[in-house]
Amino acid sequence: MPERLLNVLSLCELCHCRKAVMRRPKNFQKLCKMCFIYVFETEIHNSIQREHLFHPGEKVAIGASGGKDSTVLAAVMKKLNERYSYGLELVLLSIDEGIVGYRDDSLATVKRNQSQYDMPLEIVSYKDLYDWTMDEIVACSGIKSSCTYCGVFRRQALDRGALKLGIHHVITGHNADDMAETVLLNLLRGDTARLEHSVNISTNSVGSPVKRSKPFKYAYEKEIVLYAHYRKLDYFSTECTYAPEAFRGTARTLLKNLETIRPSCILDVIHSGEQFKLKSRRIHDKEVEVRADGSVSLPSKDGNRCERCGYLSTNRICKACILLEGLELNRAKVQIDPSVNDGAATLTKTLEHLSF
Amino acid sequence: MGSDDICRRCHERETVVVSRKEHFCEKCFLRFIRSKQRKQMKDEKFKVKYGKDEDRIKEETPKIMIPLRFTTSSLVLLDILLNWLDEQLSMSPRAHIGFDLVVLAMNSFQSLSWTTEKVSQLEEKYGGAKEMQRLHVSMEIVDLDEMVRKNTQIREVYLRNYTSFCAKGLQKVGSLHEMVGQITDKSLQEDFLLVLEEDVIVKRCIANRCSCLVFSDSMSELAVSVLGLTARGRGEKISEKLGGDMVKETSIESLYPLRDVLGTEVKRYAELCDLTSFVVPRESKGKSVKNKTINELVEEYFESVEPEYPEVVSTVVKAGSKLTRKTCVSDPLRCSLCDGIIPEDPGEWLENRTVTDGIPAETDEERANYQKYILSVTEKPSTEAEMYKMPSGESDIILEKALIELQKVEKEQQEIDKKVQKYRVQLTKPLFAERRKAIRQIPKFWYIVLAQHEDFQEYIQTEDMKYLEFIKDLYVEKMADEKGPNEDPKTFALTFTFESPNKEIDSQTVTKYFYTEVNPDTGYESIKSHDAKIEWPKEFDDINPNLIKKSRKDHKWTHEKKKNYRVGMKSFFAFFSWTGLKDNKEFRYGEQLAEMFSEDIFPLAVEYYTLAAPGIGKDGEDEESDSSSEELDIDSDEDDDEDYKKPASKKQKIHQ
Repeated sequence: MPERLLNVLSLCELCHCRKAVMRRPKNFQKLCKMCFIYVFETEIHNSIQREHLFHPGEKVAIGASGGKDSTVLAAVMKKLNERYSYGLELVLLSIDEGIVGYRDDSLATVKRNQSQYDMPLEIVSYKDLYDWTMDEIVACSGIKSSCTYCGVFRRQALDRGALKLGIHHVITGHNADDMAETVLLNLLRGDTARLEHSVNISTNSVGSPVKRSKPFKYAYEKEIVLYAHYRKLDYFSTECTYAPEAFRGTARTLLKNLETIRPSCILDVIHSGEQFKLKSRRIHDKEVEVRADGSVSLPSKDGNRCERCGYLSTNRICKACILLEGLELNRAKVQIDPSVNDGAATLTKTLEHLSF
Repeated sequence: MGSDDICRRCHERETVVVSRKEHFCEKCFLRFIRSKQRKQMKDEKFKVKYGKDEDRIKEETPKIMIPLRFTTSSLVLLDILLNWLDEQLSMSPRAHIGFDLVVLAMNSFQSLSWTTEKVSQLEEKYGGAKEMQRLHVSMEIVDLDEMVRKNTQIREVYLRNYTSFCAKGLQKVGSLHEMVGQITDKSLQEDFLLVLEEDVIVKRCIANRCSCLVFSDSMSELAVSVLGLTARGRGEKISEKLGGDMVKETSIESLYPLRDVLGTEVKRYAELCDLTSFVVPRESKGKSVKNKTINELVEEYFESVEPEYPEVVSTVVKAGSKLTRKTCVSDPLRCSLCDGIIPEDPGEWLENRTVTDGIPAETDEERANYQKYILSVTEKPSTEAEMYKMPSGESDIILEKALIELQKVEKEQQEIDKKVQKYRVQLTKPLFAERRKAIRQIPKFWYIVLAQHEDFQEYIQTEDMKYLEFIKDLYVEKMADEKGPNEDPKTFALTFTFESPNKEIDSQTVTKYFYTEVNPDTGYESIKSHDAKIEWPKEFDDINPNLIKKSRKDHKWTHEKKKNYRVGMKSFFAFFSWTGLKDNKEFRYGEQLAEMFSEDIFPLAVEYYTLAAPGIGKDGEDEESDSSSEELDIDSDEDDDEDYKKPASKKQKIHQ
């Protein structure tokens, strides 16, 4: 008998033959490295199969920001595509928001990913699409609403980038923590319109020709980090300089606290989200709804295009164009000193006083 | 000083409370809060009644119940309701009260004496018992500890040994508080108590014939519920709570009159009305995150964001009230604890999203480790062949999976069995009731049946037999509810009615209840019962164990008394005292007799009867004594052929 036998109590709980090196955040199981990697990947595979996310021969774009979620997504998709023969053509799609300092580093990471995973890479920038960078937008309208702008623009940018390559399916690295956070936020904000569909694993929204899926819907953020660590994946781990809105942050803290007392809380919140159903409102056919931001919803019309930019939209003017119009009005008022080159940090400090 | 300090509503008195950016004096603030409740209960049926027709008025006066948990909000709501009732009556001398109020005082953290004292103090505060009567208010105190101890009113389902609550399963020890203390997860404790309390409330509401339950949750508490339920994976329950549906599947309306009142406002109201001394003291804050419950975390969260985002609480409650239940199948899954509908099997949902197999051993070292593990798990020493058997990984996994599948199927089969039993009980109940009427017309029916049953006589004494003649009625009633929570078809009540014209034995009706208990270690089911009082025949006074016990001098047993006691214990009448909990100290065959009565003697009584008296009726069915039966005289066997012909022809005539 070999001498270096291990104490039974320190063995991995799934294979019972290797030493356990970690505790699984999802359910505190003690696992060895091999089993953890296997379990993590297989659960993603099960999600994909259960929801029939892909079909063979499909061309899929991976929204790559260089952060841990998208890097791990690329790594896992490549592995699963080969192991289970999904027959997919995978492409990396990255967005350049134009935030000096932050974006340069993350883009560099994505370029490394391209060679590491041997996938084609396409970069789309805000400047090219909208003639505005995030730095300029923040200068114009302040930090508080920067996430709103960025969110709208990024969504369109992803779609446009995908369509440019003839791709109709984009996957992003939204993980279980993100989904749970969205559910809580929708409740906290009273966003009933989104309550029912916020946890769908893939969305085929009316205003967009591109399907968007989240294969990591049930994957814990902590596990994604561990996976990246064990497989020694290369990613860029700094937060966006224009820090996330304070309110979303509070919801995140609540979620983390809940996770501490009961790790299954994250999945529990998602489960709750899946059960939500709105009482039906009576909407008359000819009713035209005017939303808070001034956009108008016409009774559903397919193939409706934005008058300004030609993007597919239910309204006459798409959301991005509306925001841009608002920005244009203020462009003339603010001059950005081109000599300020030390990145967003100083810019942030100086511009905090300028609020829209 | 300035205009800031004057109440904005009356412009007279000093500001005492600032809320929702408004300044209130005490009087206006109280009126403001009360108006919030009035708005929620503005339905006609609660309004003051006028008129002389007492009966009509009584019909129109609803009865509502308010659970009083001695939280700040429940005390505040009680105060508001009492104030309203007083106001109603003072409107006119001919005014009749708008509704009857039942106050259900309950508390799972403090002792019964604490609750009782607080209730009487509250009564005093509001004018004493007379005033309560004038306002049509009645107080009922619920002792949760007693309910748990005596197993009454609480569904037995709570007290099963759920291993998900704590490793050894919940033990029925001490008070409710102590029992719940065994649950290691604090949030689970919170849950368990909530479910238990809600069940008790609904039961008491039905028992008091109240048509409406008034809950005291404030807007803040409702918001905590919404997020709390979400965090627990019970999103579907939010619409049940806030959607304005009836309570579970009863026709009881549920109302939240304080749903527009903030938690801070409730606190101020309680301070202004001297209610704080009645509030249950809560554990002090400052615990680490790990020791908090889910609801406590959510509560803290709201407290921290409210200053900057004041509408958060009302937004959450509004969002929650816009939800509804997803449509579900016709026979949905039900929770075995709270009997709520489960739209999707959560266990399955979680299992589908968790992988539980690992990568089998690949190297020699790994294989050796695996062997060591197998050895430690199976206590028997494995044979040499097993020691060197290479686990082929995959086949092990397949085997394990198959065994798990078998377990599942077995469990399902047991469930089906239970269902069938329940169904049978449900169908036969009315039948037996009908049969009872017919049997009562037959003299000595049960005596004949019991005399016919050979095994029965094994369990009793010969001297007992003559008293069986005095059994006028014997009935077994299965207690399993048709749709209800009591699933155990083996719970039943056995009723004997004795009637003796010459007083050989007292005429009496005795009912003995039986229930099943599962041994947690072996899983075996056994029948248990209670001591049912029965008056023994005078003849048996010498061996009557009750009399012997009473007559003991100095608690000493004489030799003769011991002998008589033992003889008495073998009598049929000792069966009534049998509990199944005192090994060897009571009637020996209690369990056998109990099962025999419920599964054999009672259901098959008619068969035994006809076996005992052959020839009565062609199908063995007894007929009421009428002229046709007289023809079928078994005793006259002199003229066989003639007799055969006669009944046959008679019968033919009847049929034509």
